[in-house]
Amino acid sequence: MSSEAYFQALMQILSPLTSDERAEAVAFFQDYAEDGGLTDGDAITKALGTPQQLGRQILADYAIKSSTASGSAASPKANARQIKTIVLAILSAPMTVPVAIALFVIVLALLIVIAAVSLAILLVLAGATGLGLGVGAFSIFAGLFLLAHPMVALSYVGLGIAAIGVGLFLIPLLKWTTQGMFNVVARFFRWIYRHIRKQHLEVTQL
Amino acid sequence: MSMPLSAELLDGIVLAVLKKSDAYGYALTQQIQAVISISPSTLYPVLRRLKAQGALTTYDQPYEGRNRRYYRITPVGTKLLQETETNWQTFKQQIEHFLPDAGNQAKEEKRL
Repeated sequence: MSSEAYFQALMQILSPLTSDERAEAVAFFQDYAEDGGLTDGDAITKALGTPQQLGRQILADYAIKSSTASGSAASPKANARQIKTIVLAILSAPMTVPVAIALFVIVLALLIVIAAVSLAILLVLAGATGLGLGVGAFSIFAGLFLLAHPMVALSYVGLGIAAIGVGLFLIPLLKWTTQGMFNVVARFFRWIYRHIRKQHLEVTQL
Repeated sequence: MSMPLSAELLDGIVLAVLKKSDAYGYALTQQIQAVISISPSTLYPVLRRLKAQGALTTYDQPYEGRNRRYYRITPVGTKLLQETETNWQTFKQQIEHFLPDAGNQAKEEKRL
């Protein structure tokens, strides 16, 4: 095989990489071959291994590192690659396609229901809080203008204060509920990710 | 039978060579291969990682109609090299406690 054929094969194997990463890697080894006087595919293979071996080693280095273990936020590119691998892991899991699709749809439906219900609860709570505070303030304000009719004014102010009280009471409840929901969602996704990673690890060990 | 090199030691070796002088890929590999058997396919990820860490930079110089990519150590790399040298000395002494080096072997045998 010629030198060109070698590096064309290498290019192919490195297709999972971005074009920049691929170009850089191939350039490095092309330069190495030139500087080392490796003029044909056999010489290159003797020094670097077959395009498959070399390519796999390069890819392995680009593979998903346990960025979750280090705790730091992964770059968007690493995330995209992770998602791709996770989806592949799901699709390549040992179950028939219809079952996989059915499971996926069920999970999706459940998620939608949960999301809708939580959103509804959140909106009602937020609405009640806002209403309480807003109506309360307005009521007090209105009451102050009706000082000519002190009893009416007093009842307006009283109702206003009560409404504000309800609103103030609801604020910490709202905050607690929101935080709680975010927590649950985050934990759920972490659980899914861990579960998928286990599957992915099992798949790659086959 | 060669013992495997840890990533830290590999980084240290590459940085140590570059500390002496800048080098391009092939020359760097040759210098290391003169002493320890290593494949360029192992060295490429090391160089990439060190560059990502800012331990080295690259620059191109024209040579025979093409561009040669040279690697140069940075202050970050020098600091990293110093840390690795310290870690290596500690590690070396620990291992030599159990597996004394050739110079100490005579002493050890006399002691026993």
